[in-house]
Amino acid sequence: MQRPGHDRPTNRHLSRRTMLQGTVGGALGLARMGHATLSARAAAPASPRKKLLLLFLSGGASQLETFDPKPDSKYGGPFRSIATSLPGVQIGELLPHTAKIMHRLAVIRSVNTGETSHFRGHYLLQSGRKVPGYPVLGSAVAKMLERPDDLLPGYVTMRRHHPQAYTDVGDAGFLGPKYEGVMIIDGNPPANIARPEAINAATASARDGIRQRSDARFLKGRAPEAIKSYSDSYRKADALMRRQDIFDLEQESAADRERYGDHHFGRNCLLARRLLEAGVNCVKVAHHDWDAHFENFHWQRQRCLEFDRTFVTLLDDFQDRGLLDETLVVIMGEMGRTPRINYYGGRDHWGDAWSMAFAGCGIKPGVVLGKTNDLGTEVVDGQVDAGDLFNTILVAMKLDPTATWRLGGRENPVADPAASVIKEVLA
Amino acid sequence: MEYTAQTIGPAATKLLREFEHEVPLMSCVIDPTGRWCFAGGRGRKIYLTDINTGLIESRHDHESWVVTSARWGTSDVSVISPAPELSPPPLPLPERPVRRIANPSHVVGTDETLSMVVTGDLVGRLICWDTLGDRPGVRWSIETGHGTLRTVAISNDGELVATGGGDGMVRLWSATDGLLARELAGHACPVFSAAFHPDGKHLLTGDRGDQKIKQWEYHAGKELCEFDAKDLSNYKGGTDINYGGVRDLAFTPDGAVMFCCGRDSYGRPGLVLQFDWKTGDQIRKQVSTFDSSIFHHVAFHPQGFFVTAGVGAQTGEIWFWKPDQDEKLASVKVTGPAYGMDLHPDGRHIAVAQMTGPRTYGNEGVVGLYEMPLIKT
Repeated sequence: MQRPGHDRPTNRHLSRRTMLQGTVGGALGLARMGHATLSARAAAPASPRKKLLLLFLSGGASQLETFDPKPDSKYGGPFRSIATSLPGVQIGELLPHTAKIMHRLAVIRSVNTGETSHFRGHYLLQSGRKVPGYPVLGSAVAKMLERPDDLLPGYVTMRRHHPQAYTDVGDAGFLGPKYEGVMIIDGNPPANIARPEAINAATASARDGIRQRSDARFLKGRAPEAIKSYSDSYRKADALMRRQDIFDLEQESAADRERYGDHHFGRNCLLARRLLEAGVNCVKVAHHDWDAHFENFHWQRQRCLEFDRTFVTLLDDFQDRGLLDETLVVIMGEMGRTPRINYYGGRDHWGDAWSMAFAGCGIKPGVVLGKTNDLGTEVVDGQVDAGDLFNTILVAMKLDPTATWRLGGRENPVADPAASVIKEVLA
Repeated sequence: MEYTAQTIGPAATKLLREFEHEVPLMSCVIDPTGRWCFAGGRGRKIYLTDINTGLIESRHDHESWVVTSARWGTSDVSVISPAPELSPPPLPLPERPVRRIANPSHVVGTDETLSMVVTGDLVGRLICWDTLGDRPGVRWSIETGHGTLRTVAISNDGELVATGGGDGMVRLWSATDGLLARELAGHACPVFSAAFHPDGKHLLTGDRGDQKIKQWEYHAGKELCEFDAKDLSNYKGGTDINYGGVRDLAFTPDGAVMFCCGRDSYGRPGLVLQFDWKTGDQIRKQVSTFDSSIFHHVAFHPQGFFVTAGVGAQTGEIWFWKPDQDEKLASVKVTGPAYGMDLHPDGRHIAVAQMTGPRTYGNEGVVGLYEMPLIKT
């Protein structure tokens, strides 16, 4: 249920207090539970570090209207398929720009997670696990790529304001709040992160000194990880306070803003590029409203056209700026949609046979892996699951999926050991 | 027996026959001669049914799902009314002319006898059919080039075809050759409905999102004003994705009252709003008891009642209303969700395009032909 006043403009911003509540308060809570002593066995890789951009099609995009069209089948839908830059490969006509860069992508048409719940699907796809408590990709990557001198948060997640946006599940799990994604809602910078005018720099610095001394005193005789988490969170909030310029999209030319598109997803993708360039290691951008139980074709068209242009603009920019060699771009949702079309012209939840795509570092471009049957109801070749995807993403980023998290004296594998790496899509 | 405009009894409407189709249907229109029913839905075919013989011919002229259609004919077109029984072999036109009650889509003043149907699909193919002769033929076929078509309407003089669709633009095309005549910009989201006012000067269009109906002086290309249809559910995003918007528009023959239909809100019944044409004020809101439904079509019958058809929870119904009464005149449950509806030009029959098949996922379709019986006076 939406809380009263939840949609007021002032509440759409993430305040410093809110951010710290989400991190520090949680950290202390976790410390009480004894979880704050976790660590990763794998150290951050030698430079240059890779980055991760997760474009999350929230609600579940229809594979039949995107990467696995079946235009002549009973369940194919109204749209045609079109040729792509990969000879012999066709995708849905709603992605005309993507069709021209298919030779730069690796597409998997054979994802079978069997999961049809939004919330479980979100967690499963981002953690590679069904068992709760594990960190999602952004948090895991933030932890694995972490360096002591990092200033900005390792993981930023962006979405639209909505009480049920389906995107905020799981997160850091047992890694603790230090690795939770910093939430950017509606593309707005975290509110109130600027130093109030009434407080000069010297006063602010003095206050911070008091805070640090207080921390040091509090640390005596207590679990250090909780205090460290608190300090790190404060330090990163302070870093964000000093980098409000990142959020100022007016610094981009009007032409560039137009290229990305005047909508949430376009603005968030532009902001994602700026955050990655500024040093954030992992950014998740949610593209909402794919959950088309009603009038799927009307809605998929709207979503696809918005996604298509922005995504290709983003990829072109990454290429031009040299970001693509160091950034893995992943397009996924929490599930696909039923091949069968319901009485409302909608497609419902489907986890048995759907598609996703990769681009960028560590990926073999121009690959289309897997196959579904003629109706699109089952995977008939190259089946992969969420664990395989999690493993593969880590390997593409030169991270070790066999590393472990140390939790309560036990070594817990970062990636599900039962899962495989999808070598076919790796460079 | 001679019947008059007062002798049709919609309350006793009954199914005359059903034409089974291989795909779920989403639109239908009966041509001005009354002989052909054009139906379309999933798949790329359009189905031409000879109403009297039951013979269905599928044509491949479209490239996607046919979801919208309209008809227009001159007043001298002879109308053939459905026979009580299917009657092969095909009846030549106009062997069974009946007296038409009235039809707003027929006008006087053209030297040439014309009978045409326009159909549109979800990738933007617009086809104009000539329905005189042994079987319908394509008059012209164009790729409108702007994506999804959701609605078509033909001007009262038969000169222009209006289209609306996914890009939010309203476009006017020459009915003679399919050339683009004018574009009307103003909708911020997809256009779902269009209707020409009987005065021959104005076009009304409704869209998905903001519950506003735009009035255009279409010859001048000017937007004049908006009707506020805020009682219709709008189309929300996120987890609130649902049906909404202004689904259809209609007028009384004198143009004094405009009707629009859609749904109340998610999980609520379909409804119809009436507007006073002169003042723009909403004058009545008629809410059905058709649970969790949306009315996709509304049509005014010259006898003085109007008809709506829609989709409920895997069901379909036709509703008959008096304009001045909140309660329905009658309702009829049809076989499946009713996405398309058209009044036969004889004034006595209704065609309803439906989805049928297994629960939840309909894979077949029917056109139901319903008869409104005559009442002895």
